[in-house]
Amino acid sequence: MKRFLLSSLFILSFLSHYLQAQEAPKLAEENKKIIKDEFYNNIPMPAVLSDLEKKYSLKLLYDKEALREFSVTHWFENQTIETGLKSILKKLPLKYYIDDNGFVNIVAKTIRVETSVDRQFKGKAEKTNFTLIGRVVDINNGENLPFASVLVRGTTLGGQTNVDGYFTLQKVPSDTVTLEVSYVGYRTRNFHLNPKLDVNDLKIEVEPAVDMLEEVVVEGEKTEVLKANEVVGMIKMTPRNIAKLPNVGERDPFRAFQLMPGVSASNESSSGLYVRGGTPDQTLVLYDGFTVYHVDHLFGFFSAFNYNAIKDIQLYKGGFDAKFGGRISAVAEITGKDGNKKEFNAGVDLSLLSTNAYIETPLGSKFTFLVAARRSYKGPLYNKLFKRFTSENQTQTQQQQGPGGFPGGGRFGSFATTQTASSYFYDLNSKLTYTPTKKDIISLSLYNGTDNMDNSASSNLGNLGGFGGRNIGLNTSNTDVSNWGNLGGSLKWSRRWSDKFYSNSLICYSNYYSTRDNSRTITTNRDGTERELKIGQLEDNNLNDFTAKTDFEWKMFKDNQLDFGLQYTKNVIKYTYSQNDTVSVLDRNDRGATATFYVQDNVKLLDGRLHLLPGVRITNFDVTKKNYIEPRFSANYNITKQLKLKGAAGVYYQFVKQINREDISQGNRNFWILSNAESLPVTKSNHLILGGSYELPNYLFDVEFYQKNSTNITEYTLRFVPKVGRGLSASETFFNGSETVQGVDILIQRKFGDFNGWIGYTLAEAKRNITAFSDKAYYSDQDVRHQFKVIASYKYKRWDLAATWIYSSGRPYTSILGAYQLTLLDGSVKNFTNPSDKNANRFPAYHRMDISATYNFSSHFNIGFSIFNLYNRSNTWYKRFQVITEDDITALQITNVKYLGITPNVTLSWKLR
Amino acid sequence: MKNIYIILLLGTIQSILWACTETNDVINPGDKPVIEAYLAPNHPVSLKAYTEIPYSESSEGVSQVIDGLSIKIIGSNGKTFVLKSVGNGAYESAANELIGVAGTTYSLEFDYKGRKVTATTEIPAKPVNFASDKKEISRTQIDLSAGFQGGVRPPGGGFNEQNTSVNLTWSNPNNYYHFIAVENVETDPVQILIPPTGRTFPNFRFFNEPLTGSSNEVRSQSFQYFGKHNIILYRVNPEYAALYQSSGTTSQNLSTPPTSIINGLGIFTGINADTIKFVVNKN
Repeated sequence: MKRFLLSSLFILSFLSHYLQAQEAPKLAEENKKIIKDEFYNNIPMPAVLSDLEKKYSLKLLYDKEALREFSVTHWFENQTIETGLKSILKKLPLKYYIDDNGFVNIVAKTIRVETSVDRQFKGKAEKTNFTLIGRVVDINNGENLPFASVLVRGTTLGGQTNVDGYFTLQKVPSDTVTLEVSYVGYRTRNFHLNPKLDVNDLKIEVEPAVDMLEEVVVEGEKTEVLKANEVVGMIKMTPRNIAKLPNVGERDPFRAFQLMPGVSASNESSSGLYVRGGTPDQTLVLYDGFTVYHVDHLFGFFSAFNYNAIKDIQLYKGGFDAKFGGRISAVAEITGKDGNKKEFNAGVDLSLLSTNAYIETPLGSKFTFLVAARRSYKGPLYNKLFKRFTSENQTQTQQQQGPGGFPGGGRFGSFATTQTASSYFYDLNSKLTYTPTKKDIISLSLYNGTDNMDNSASSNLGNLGGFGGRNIGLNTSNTDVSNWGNLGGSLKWSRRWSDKFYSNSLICYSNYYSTRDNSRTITTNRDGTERELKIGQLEDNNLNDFTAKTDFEWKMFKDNQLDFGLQYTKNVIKYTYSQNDTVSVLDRNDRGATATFYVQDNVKLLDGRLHLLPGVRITNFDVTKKNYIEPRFSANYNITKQLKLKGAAGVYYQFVKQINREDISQGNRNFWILSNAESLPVTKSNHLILGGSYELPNYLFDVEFYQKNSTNITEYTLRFVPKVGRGLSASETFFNGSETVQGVDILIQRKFGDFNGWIGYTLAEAKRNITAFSDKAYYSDQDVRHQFKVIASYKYKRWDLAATWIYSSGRPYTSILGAYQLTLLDGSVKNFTNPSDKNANRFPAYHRMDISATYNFSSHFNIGFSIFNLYNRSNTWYKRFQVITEDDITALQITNVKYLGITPNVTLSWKLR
Repeated sequence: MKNIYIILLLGTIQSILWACTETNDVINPGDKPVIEAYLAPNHPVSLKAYTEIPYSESSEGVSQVIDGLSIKIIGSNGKTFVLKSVGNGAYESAANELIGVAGTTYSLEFDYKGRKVTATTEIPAKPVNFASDKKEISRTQIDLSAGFQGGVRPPGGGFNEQNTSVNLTWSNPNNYYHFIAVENVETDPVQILIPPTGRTFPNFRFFNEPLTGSSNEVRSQSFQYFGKHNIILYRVNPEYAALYQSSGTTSQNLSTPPTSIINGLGIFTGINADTIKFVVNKN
């Protein structure tokens, strides 16, 4: 797979450029003349242009002063002015365009070209009350932009582009109205319709905000522009926004989401999204339609998503609509890039941690292709992170390596230890998009990401010749190999059947695998006879997800859209956890299928001021043989243009669960299992969200209150069972209970200007009630009372500066109350530690500041410096308790294990276009 | 003016959200007594009670014995033991008061710091058909007290014995937990391996765990002393087997110490045993 993609990458890099012609006004007749033979050698451009104007009476427009600094060396030989200019301007920061009068205009590349649609049409309308179909595309690469907002100015009529970038507006009052087109990270465009335009296939190009943080970073709620985006609890980002935020090694969309209120930022060891008191497995992560089950690279320090391959991400923090299901907390919907439709492009990012490269290109006029790959390398930063996550592990390993039972073993012979630790991660995204007709889009998206960690060691306790001259050898080798990753793909077919009916069908496959072999092989060699003994743990989790789904959109009439769809998912999940070769602690092989139907109605009332979205999702789960009905409802009401109230409520079910077997000393492992009718009931959650927003042209104030009541939350523990000598039944290791989450998210954002950013605050509480752990409610592991985040960015000349500061109350943890010893039947003494009530203690507050500075040499090349944890705050990750017995004194020792300290990074980014 | 509303709103919200919040109590160390009691049929009751080593970040504490409790053990056969505190944390029944036969259930009961500490256990049946394939083995003494100085090899040789194992078998069709312990019964046992001067070997434990199988082996090198031994096969209850589960050591995976004692810690369990005599001879 990987090889195939790499080879196709090479082929593609030799492909020439494909330029698609743009709809353009006609060239004046004079400008079509052939210039037979004119040679200019290092002549200032205005002089060249004025010479040509005179000789061929060309119609040119340019600013003499602005062009004075550019010199031209060119030989016009049977060329038109247009052909000549194309080659001249290639090396200059200039471009040309043809205006409505047929004049050739030469301007700086940064200047936006005015065309007829940039001016209000003065004539008479020809069509009224018609249906407008179009798409919103990126002006630079021709990518269709999903979820962009299109609004008829001065009215409440508006819509949103679908996942393929298409939109339909019904009952547009006239063909001379103005459309306001906005998309996060892009300049909002006023697009003036005129009767000459094709209202069945309108292409609206929008331009990326040149300075990445200059424009809207976050699309919260807007009253004026984003009618269709008015979804409770939704945050939207494009990867371009992330580029200049401080980072540790990788530009990471999930880490960027963690800077928003309601998404926890204090879990350095997980890039998963802890959304509003939920855990990462309660967040549905969709990448081009397929579910990604594991989002971590390098022990969770980075998410598995390469920002170079991503076009758009939407995060629903709760109260999401009936289209999404199978998770109880949140949805992150990621849309991958299709690839440049206009020309070949490539780019590379180099950081202290990894190399990240991509290629995108059109293939003919109907195909586009993109491939993006990254791989870590063992630079100083990688090693630092790796050690942070494995040092505990290694210490333990080393202790085990001692020649057990022979204290002072060094005196008995040679003792050699070799340790080989190697580890890396890589991921690869590729997408092939085929547009056979204007109504169909077919795309194949593939993703593969893998982490490999080898922390093995071997030791050799050589010749024990002291004992009667016999030859006795003892070899110990510790294997500690972990592999985890995802392989997924989707084949999607979108079709616009009519101006009212649209469908989107997918076949997806997703596989998550995680294996760990943490074992010790002891080979004893006695006079040539070898005996092998394997002690340790073997773990294997393999999840397969086969999904077929179809979503339909039916615009029944103005202000009413019906969405409905079908989904079928088959899950095959295996999990085995065995010890010492033989004993199988847990061995599960689960199969289950869900069949789902949903329907929801998008209604606008009161002249568009009230937006209602009632819906229902019905799922049949074949394991429990039950139907699960999830009613959903959300609403927005615009009191005034600026002030809006919003709310959502719904029921959510989750059928696959990730169980966190938190065990730092052995490596923190998660595994997925499937619900059943007995010990692992289907998790259910009820959401209620109420909020309001107040939006000024430059500022947004947004408040949302939320409450989630969940039942059948599962925790896994081995603590209550004797695990000796036999396997475990699920009922002995999984404990179910309920959870209540409530809180408020507050966002104050300055959206525009050289200085912009936001302040986010979350006040929240998450409590669990699982009777096996405690007869009273206890705070959930992820419970954090206060989180305060300040994100500021400032543009100064060619510099982009950004700083983030995060403050978070401490997470709860279980401490110990004391320790004791028991004498066992054989006379040996065993130590026991007695934990406090579950999560009855709190770590100190977590806070840190990150800063970054990016210098833009040009729009193609920049260098970014960033410092993580600027003031080197020691944030506690977890505590380790040890009972140490020495000379009959038994004492307890506590160690605070810390998160990452100050960590600088440098990133070089280059792209062809 | 707007600000005031926002502050008022936030204040109200906060009070609504937190009006009903309860926090988890921290039970102080020392609130739960640690009990150690193995009830064997036809033996008087012997029980130990002591406190935990209290944990604090600043100081190191020690375990204290608990004397003077009034502890009752109530049997399902109608017989109740009232234990006598004999000092140093030990409690005993009268010498003529003996634990009953297999199948009898016993309940522990006493008050400690305002809580009722209780536990229940059953006396398991005696192991069946316990046998070993050998009654004796021979070992050579190894004296390392001279050390390795000057390249002088120590006399003797430890591992040139027959590499034999003592194979133990018993019937266990219902997969009950069994546990092997080996006990030297010499009054003045002689070490097989004499450590170098100034050093001590730690006690070579038999790395046994309770097993649900029907056989086990004791390797000849496991014996530390010459002379007479008892090889004891215990039949134990799951609450004893639970003591062998590994317990976590970090705040992320601490496990509650396995105990069947409510409001207490430690072990209160019935055991039964069969014994085989065994001799380690000196070559």
